Amino acid sequence: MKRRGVVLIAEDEAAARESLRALLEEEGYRVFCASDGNEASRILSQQTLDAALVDIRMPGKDGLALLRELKPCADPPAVLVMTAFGTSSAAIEAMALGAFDYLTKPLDYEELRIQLERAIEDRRRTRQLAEYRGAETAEIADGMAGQGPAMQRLYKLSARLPRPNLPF
Amino acid sequence: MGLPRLSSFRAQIVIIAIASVATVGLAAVLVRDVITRTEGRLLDEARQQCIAATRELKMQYRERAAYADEAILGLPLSAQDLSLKGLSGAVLRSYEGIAGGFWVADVNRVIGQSGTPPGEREMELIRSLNRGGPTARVFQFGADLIVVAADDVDRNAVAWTRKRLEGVRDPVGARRRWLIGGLVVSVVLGMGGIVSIWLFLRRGIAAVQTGLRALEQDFAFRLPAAPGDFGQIAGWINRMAENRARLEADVRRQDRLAALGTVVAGVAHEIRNPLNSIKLTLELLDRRLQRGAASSDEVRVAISEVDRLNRIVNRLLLFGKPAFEDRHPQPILPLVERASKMVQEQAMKKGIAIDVTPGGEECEADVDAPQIEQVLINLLLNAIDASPDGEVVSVAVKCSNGDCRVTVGNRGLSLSGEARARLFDAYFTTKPSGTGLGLSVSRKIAMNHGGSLDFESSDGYTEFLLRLPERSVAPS
Repeated sequence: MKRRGVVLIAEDEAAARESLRALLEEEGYRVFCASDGNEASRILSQQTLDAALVDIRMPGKDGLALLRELKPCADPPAVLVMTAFGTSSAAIEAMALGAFDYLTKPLDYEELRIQLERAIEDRRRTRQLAEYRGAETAEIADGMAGQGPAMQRLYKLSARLPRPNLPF
Repeated sequence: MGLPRLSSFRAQIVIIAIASVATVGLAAVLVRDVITRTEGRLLDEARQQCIAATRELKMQYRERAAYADEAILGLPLSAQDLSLKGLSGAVLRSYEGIAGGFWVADVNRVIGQSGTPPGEREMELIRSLNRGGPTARVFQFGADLIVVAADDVDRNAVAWTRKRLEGVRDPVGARRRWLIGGLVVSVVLGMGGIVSIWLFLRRGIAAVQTGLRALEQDFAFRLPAAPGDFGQIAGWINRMAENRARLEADVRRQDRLAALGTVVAGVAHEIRNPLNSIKLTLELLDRRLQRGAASSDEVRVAISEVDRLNRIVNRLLLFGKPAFEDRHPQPILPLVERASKMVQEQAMKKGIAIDVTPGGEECEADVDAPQIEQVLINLLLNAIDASPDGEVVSVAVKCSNGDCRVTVGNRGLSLSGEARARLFDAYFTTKPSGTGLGLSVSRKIAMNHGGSLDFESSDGYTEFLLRLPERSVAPS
C-alpha cells in the first residue's frame, strides 16, 4: 500500500479519535493522535506532517490556538478543523487563521477523505510554488544591494513582475 | 420648617399673593389720592370764588357809598337792607352757588343779603375774620364743606360770601361706598382665586407625585383619570408606562429566545460529539465487514456512545423536575470526603491540595446522597480548574439556624462581569471543553432540596456556598 501522507488527529473524544485513526490507517496514511491541545501542539512541533485534523473545542489548547501557533511556521501542514457547532464564528475564525476547510460533526467520512486528499495536494502545490519563488527571489537579490525588510519585500514583489527570460 | 426655595411651587404662589395684595393696596392709595386732589381743587376754586365775590361786593358797596353816602347812611336800616340786597343780588348773580351780604358790627345785624342767611358758625367766622383784606375760612358741616370769606368795607360794616360744597366730606357717601365695596370684592376674589388655584395645583401635583411613586414601586399601577391638565399629564404618564412595559416584555421575550438559543446550541454540541463517534465507528465497522475483518470492538464502542447519549438526555431531564431516589437525613461531611477522594486525581495532576477544614461532624441534612455528591464533585472540579498549579482548594462544613452550609473556595482570577451574571445559566461556559451544565444542574439540585447555591468572588478568591436545610422542606 502506498504512503498517502502523514496526518495528525487532534480530538478529545476517544471513540471518535480511535475510529478515525483506524479508518485513515486502513486508507494508507501514517497517523499521529493527540487527545488534547497541548499534546497536539507538541506533535506539530516535533513531526513533519502533511495535514492535521483538529477539533476546535479541546482541553488544554483549542483548535484556534493551534492555528495561531502554526501561522508563523515556514511550512505548516494543511489544517482541517472539526466542529460540532455547525457554521459557528469559531469555524469562520479558523478559516481566517489559515485553515484549509472546516468539517461539521457528525463527520461524513467520504467528505473527510476527499477534503483530506485535496488539502494535502493543495499544500504540495503551494510548497512547490514557494520553492520556485524563493529561487527567483534569491536570483534577483544577487544583483542588488540591501538586506533590510523593505528590500526583502521589494525582491519578493519584483519576482512577480513579468520577465522575458522565464523558462516556460 | 425651613424657608421654601424660590424655585418651589409654594414660594412662587406666596410671591404672587404678596404681589397681588400690594397691587390692590397701591391701587387703593392711588384712588384715595385722586379723590383728595379733586376735593382740594374744588375747595381752592370755591375759596377763590368767595374771595373774588367778597372783593366785588366791597368795591360795589364803596362805589355806592362814595356817590350816595348820605343817602345810604341816613336811611333807616331796613331801607339800607333793601338797597344792599339789590346790590349783592346783582353782584352774586355771576357767582354760581355763592350767597353773601353785609354785617353791621355796632348793631350786630346782617343786611343786604342774597341767598340763605348765615348760620351760627358762619356768623362766628364772619365776626372773627381778619380785617384789612379778604380772607377765607373753611369749616365742615355734616357731610358738607362750607367756605366763608369776609372783608371790611368801612369802620362798621363787613362784606361776606359763602359757598357750600355739598357731600364732599361724606364718609359713607354712595361713591365711596361703591369704591370701597369694589375694592373689598376684588381683594376677596383675588385672594380666593389664588387660594383656589393653589389648592387645585397642590392637589393635582400631589396626585401626580403619589402616582409616580406608586408607579416606581409597581409598574402595573396606572394613575387615576382626572379632568383638565393634570388628567392629561396622568394620561401621558400612563401611556409612557405602557410603552415601557411593552418594551420590557419585548426584551424579556428576546432574552428567553437568546437563552433558548444557547441551550439548543449546547444540546447540539453535546449530542453531536457522541453521534460523531458512533458514525465514525459504524463507518469503520462497515469497511471491516466488507473485508470480513470486523470485530465486536466497533459495536461495543457504538453501544457505549449510545449509553452516553442517554445519560446526556437524563441530565437534561433532571433539569426540569426533581428526581429523588433515596432522600433521608444524614451527615454531610462523609459526602464531602467521598467527593474529595473522587477528584483527587485531577487535583494531583495540578499539584493542588484539597483541604477539608475539620469540624462539622454533627452537621446533618435531608438529602439524596448521590445527587449532593455530584454537586460537590462539580464544585471541586471547578475550583481545581480555576486554581493556579500548586494552590489549595479549601472546603468547610458548618451548621447554623437549621441549615447545613458547605463552602468550596479557591484562589485564582476573580470572575468577570459576564461570568458573574450568567454563571448559573444552562450551557454558559468559559471552558473550551465545558458543557455549561455543571453549575446550572448543581443549583437545580440544591433548589430541589430546598437549599441554594451561591458564590462570592473578589480579590482573586472565589467561594461557592451550598446551603442545605437540616429538615426536609418542600422543594421551592
